[in-house]
Amino acid sequence: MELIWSDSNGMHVLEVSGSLDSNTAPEMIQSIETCLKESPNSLVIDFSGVDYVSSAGLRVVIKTNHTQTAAGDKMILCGLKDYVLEVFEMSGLSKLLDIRDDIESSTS
Amino acid sequence: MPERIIRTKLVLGVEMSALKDLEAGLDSFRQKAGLAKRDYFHIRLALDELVTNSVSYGFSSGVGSGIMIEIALLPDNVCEILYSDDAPRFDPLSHTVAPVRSSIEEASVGGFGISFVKQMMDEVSYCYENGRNMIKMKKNVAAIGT
Repeated sequence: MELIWSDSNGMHVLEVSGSLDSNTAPEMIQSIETCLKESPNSLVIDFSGVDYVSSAGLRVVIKTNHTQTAAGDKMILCGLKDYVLEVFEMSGLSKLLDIRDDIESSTS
Repeated sequence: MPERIIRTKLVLGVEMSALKDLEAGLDSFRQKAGLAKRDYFHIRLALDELVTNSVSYGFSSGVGSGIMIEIALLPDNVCEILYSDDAPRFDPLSHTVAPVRSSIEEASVGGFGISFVKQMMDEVSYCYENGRNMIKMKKNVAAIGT
């Protein structure tokens, strides 16, 4: 898994690529927590490079959403491939999260 | 439709790195069997959740030596999977979490995994035999090449 941080239109953007499972989820949540602790802000997580996600990935998203809600900041997900989106749909989370098509529509 | 049964057997350890071995073994099976990407993804997700469960809870007491997965793609496009571990006796199918319907704040950070196994597979059953937790699964897959 690769994590690339940037900022766009005053929001944090995290580009994730590779597989998001129980092996890689701890690294991702640690990176997010470190960033948000140092610099609380709204966050866009770009999943366009993620080719696989398990329930461990959902836990990262739920935990991050809790952090953002408590801080009064937004969390937006974008670029989910069909199979990845299906996992969010099965969990019921897709109807409750802010999920957008691409990075442009997330940061505009 | 395959004219013969295509089989594979994976032997995984008790650490979370077993997921990497699962991915490599399943990818090899996918190529050999010609599985559609969607079916491969579903099978990988179900097995990933079971492996994660075994490693996180089953083997956490220090009891058990590993996981065995046997997969067979039958000529009628049915994938039969036998998952087993020698961790202490536990039926994971009896513990599931329903999909989140009301608010994200109510979403638990755990419990989706076994729910996914049930959703990904057409048949799932648990039994305990010869000191092993055994989960038998069947999935109807797309015809090869579709």
